[in-house]
Amino acid sequence: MIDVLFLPMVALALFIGLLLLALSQDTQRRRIGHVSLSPREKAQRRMPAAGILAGCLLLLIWYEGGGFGTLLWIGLISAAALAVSLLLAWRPSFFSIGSRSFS
Amino acid sequence: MEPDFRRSMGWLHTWAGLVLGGVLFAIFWMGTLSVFDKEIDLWMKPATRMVSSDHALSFDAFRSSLEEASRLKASFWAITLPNERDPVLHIRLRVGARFHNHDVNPSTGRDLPDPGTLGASGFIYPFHYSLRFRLGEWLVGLAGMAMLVLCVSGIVIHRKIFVDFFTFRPEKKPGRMLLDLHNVAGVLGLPFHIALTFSGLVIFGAVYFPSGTHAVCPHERACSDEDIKVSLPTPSEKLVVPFTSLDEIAVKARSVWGHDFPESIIVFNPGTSASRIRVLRSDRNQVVFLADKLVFDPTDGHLLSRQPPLRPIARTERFLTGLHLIRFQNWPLRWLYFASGLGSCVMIATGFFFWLNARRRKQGVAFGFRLVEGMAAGSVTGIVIATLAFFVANRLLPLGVNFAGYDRAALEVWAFYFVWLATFAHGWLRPRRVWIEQSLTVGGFALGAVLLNWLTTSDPLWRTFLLRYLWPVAGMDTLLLLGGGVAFWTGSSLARRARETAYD
Repeated sequence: MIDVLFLPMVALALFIGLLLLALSQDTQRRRIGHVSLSPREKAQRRMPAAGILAGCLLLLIWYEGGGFGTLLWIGLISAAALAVSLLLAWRPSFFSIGSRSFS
Repeated sequence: MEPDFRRSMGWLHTWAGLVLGGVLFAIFWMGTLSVFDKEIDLWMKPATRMVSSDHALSFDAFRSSLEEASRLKASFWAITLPNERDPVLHIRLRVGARFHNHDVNPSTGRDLPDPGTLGASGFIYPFHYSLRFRLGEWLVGLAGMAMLVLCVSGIVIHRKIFVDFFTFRPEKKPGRMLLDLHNVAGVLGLPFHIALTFSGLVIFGAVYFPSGTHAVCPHERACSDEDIKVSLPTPSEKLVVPFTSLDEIAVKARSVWGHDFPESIIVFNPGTSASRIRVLRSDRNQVVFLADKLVFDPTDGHLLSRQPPLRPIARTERFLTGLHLIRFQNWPLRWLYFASGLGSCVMIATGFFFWLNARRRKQGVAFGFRLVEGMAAGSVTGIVIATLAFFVANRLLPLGVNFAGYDRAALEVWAFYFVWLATFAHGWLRPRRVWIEQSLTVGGFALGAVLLNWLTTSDPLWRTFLLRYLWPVAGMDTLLLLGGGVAFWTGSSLARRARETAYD
């Protein structure tokens, strides 16, 4: 069961990390009609985002080994970033919900 | 950064992409398909669609084939066991300068009929790294270097790489939207583009820089078969004692490795006193491309040598090779490679489209523009159509067919090249309609391939989904349907937009 759910959960965590990162950028916030953040607020979002991304890398290396873990992290982070980009383009309302949730 | 420097990088990015973009698209497209080469083989060779044998196979059951190889004075005889991706047992031997391959049903031990096709592993995969011509590896190397230059120059000219990290605006004008798509595909897949391009160059390092290899190994074969300590081809000495049991050797190999079973056994110079048996362990549970090699004496079966541990630099080279060749067994990673490969294709194609779109209004009728548009059409949609024509020809040509001296496998390849050439001509002759018509052709060929697979093999999609051993065929059909659907949608969208523009 853990084997089956492990990668989807890591992918979800990476998605959340990148979502936080996107919601800390002025350009993306303007696109979804949100006001810009102060430098302090940006840091408040970027620190946990960086932590999630780094944590996922360590988790993957621990679970899958150095070679597979690193390659999976690179592949999943690209896929998660693509998902964030496409949602931002076609379903910006999703980000409004996300932004409220993480405020 | 100096504006002049950025401008010169922009010039380099544009022209390197324009000149070598077509070759790069061909390399990345074929490489992306090669990620699933065994699965495509299964689709193209219906006789190999079989349930994997769940009982332990005996190497000695194929002893008669080995003895036949001895009689033929083969320089080597090799047997490779089936695995999760390839249900067929393979026997290969080399007699003189000729290689012979036999696909064997592991359950019955009988040879499978000639598939009459090169399949993906015999055509698509070699095309990826050699373009199937004499100096193709050099052109691939040049394109690989250009790809690295394109990556670096792309980063330099992209002023807001972090700010625009997630920026894709489909609602904007086509030019802006194409550039966004190009940037998103380029930036998000950047680690993949660089890692795969660099590792590809490393694999062919000895081809591009042979002096280093020659300095260490004056005779190339002497290095690659150092553990065998024999020279190829066949020496003249005759064997005086019979072969020991291959199964016993497999058991000994297993005791050396702990629990792993041999994946393949190669008998060099069978039937001579210079004979040696090399046993290879599966390397599918690791990224590093390194099958632990054991060498045995064929007369009494004692262990002669074991591959020594690699030094760090050699191990790094093996890691990069393994990272590129994807021999490992990791399905999520394999799918991520496939998706990233498609992302690379999107990046290259949108680079072409952006260039064309930016100049269409002012230079649309100029010879240079028409030339580039035809080249782009043949390079992007053209090679996709040609690949689909290869699949369609595979399902349409009857087994054993021969035309003008060419067998079925050669005719499939001719179909590929003929259709590919036709797409270039189409691009030059019908510039206004080329993208619409070629997109619709992609959709038609993809749908046709799925229908033909159903009609010629009685394996419709619902059946292949239900049977576990047919999942690779189901995956191939599903991707063809999805790709065909996207192509139909693209073609009809472009046609609608062209009509709206004409009314305006």
